[in-house]
Amino acid sequence: MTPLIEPIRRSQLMNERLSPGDAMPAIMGKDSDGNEVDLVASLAGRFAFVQLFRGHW
Amino acid sequence: MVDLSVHAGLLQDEGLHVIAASVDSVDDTNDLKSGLRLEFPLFAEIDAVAVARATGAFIEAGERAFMQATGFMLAPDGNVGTAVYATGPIGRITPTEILRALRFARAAASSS
Repeated sequence: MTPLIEPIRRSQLMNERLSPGDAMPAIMGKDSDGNEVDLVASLAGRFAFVQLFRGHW
Repeated sequence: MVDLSVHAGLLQDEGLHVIAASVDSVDDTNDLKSGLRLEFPLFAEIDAVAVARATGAFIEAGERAFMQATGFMLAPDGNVGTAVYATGPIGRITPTEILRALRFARAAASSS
């Protein structure tokens, strides 16, 4: 569970945006069975599109 | 997500592997996947703060932090081809733009 992040300023959280040619960092998440996986590692060797979305809000 | 879900088959037919992720629970994510009849993997419970730090993605801060829509085209070597960041509820890369970026990346790779 992501902890409360106020009063941390939003600018402190957001590093530089990724640019073309940058290595995509690992993103940990859970698959449909609840297993923790590195989303990015699962894409190695192929063209891929990763969409981060807002979900319920 | 609806636009991507409608056009995911077209993208996959072009050989693009599509995935999506949010901070939602595994159960909510599975419900969304079945509700939209998505045929690409959805991942749940990503850490919004950690992902923002690693990728520069914008998040909505507060009691429950969540990601703003962010799209990354990745090359087979794992490097970013292009990235599109939204700062709020509007602004996403479209499937047409994804397809165009894919075709450009393939053409560039084959000519080098």
